Amino acid sequence: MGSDWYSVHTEARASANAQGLTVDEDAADALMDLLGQHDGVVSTGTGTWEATISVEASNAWEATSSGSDLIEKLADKAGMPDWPAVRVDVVRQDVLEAENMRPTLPELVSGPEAAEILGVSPQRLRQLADGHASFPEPMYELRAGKLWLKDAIEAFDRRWDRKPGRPRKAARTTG
Amino acid sequence: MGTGRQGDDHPDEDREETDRPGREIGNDHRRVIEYLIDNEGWTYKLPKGGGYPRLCPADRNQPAIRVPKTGNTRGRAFSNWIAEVRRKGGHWPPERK
Repeated sequence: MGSDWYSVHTEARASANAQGLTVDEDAADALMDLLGQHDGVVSTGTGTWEATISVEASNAWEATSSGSDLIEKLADKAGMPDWPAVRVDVVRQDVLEAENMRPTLPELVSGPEAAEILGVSPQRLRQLADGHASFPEPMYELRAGKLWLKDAIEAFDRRWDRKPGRPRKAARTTG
Repeated sequence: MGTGRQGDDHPDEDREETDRPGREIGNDHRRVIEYLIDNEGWTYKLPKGGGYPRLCPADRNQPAIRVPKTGNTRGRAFSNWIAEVRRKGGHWPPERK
């Protein structure tokens, strides 16, 4: 069976009763040194430390076991606090690299941009936003205007059963 | 292993805060860090007496991320580091305009 590279991330935390504990910075630097040959990175905060490395393994289960064992062993050697691991994340390296390429925030559109996607005037967009039962809720309402998820507007465009002609003035907009 | 130490003294008090990363780190890391400083309120700290530089998220409750020095900055190491930045709330690659 072949093997792949996996990224293994662990998070250790002090117990909830132990308030305000910090990690010795020299120990964290020592761990960073030790993890260097494993493509490692270390993060430290109050009552927590985290480490990520890459390991070669035949599957994600094996990577979880070997990666977390290695981090634990090297953390011990570096003199890191022996706080228990509360999280282990494992992902195949090529999957992680693809994820890293994707923006973490969704694409947003303003009212005029949403109107353009739907092929309506800004006034009609406001009518839809105010009165159409299945028009998406805005993600943000700023003083300057509302922002919607672009995907949500595009999905509405696909399902919107348009009715030709001017909408009736008195009725709430439904299509 | 140690047990951690009581944090009555701030772990960063003996550190020098810089506004820009320099040649102590690789170009790829520097580009990301400069973006995060300029656009997302992150800070960068370079220890006075050696040690690894640290990148601190705008959200001060998030742990500081150590930055590898030049020499181990490409391939899997860089992917792992970017994943850590994203985990701590950093947006990279930059968002669509």
